[in-house]
Amino acid sequence: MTKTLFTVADRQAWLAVLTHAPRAGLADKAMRFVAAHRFDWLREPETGLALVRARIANRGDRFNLGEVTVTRCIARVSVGEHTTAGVGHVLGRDEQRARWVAQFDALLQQPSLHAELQAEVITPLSAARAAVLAQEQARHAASRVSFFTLQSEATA
Amino acid sequence: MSLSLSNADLLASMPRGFADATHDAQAVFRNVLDALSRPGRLQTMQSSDGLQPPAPLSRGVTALLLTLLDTETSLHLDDSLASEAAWMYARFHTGVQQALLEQADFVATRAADAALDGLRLGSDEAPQQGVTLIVEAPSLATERHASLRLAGPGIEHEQRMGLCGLSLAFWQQRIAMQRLFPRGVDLLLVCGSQLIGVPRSTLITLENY
Repeated sequence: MTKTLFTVADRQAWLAVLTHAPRAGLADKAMRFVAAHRFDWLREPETGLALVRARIANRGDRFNLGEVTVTRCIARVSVGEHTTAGVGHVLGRDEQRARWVAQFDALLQQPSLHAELQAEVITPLSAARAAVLAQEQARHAASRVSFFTLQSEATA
Repeated sequence: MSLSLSNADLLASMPRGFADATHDAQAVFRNVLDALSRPGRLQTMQSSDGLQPPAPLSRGVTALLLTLLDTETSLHLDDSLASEAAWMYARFHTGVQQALLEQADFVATRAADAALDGLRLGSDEAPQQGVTLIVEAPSLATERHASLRLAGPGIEHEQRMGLCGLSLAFWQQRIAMQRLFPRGVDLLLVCGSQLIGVPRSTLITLENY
């Protein structure tokens, strides 16, 4: 790489957006941006188990919560003289989704495509996810119960 | 999943493994099986087009490593074959663990540097813990003047083979090891896509010396 277009945190951010994106949204974007490129599969999609560990209320010791199915793959693409590799990890066994994530990750690292993809793919997908989350939060907030304790007169 | 995001450049330049991981590995495994069940007889490994060996490993050795190694095995690469690229490749494609010579399940070396000293031979209770030595040989052709005569399981009458670039001292040591059976070392000699297996059960005698 000649210069750094993005930091590790940037890449983590767009990978998070991609893995959380709904299938339909990814499929739509993939049709527009991915189909034109030829990918070399360094690692074909493979499905396995990952152990999820947790801590209650982010305190105390970690315990094994359970195993989740994860599908992963690695795609490599060359645009001009730049070759980049993208990784795709998704929950479940949807190989096509893992492929799309890896393909977008590889393309997003390409200097010539980064800005366009960031604006056309990541921003809308991330906005859509934020909207869904906000909606969900609003729905939950309506059922929220707050407890008030009246202060006794003596201490007031 | 051990590959962190900062390894992006490394991944971009990572040489490819088998084009079709399952079937290519099965085909090479079959060749290894044939080689070990017919000691001393030349086998031709099915060449996989997509395979890109990392420097300084050869295609043949790489195909064997991709076939035989997984996360539960350990490998020692001799200094002549060890490189950062080779290790990254082996770890990425197979998940193998790096081990010292004395502890490794598999050892890969060049013929000129091959030695049997310090290799794990297994025990009488657990002979399967004996090491498999993969040797990158300059040639597997049978030499006319000097050869080894092989006998034992898998050989009906007798089988001859050349020294395959290994030193006379190496073969003498291998012969001396025969009395330790079932402890011992299984040999896989590779040159290009050719393969010869010499399991520990094979009895070797030197000829014309």
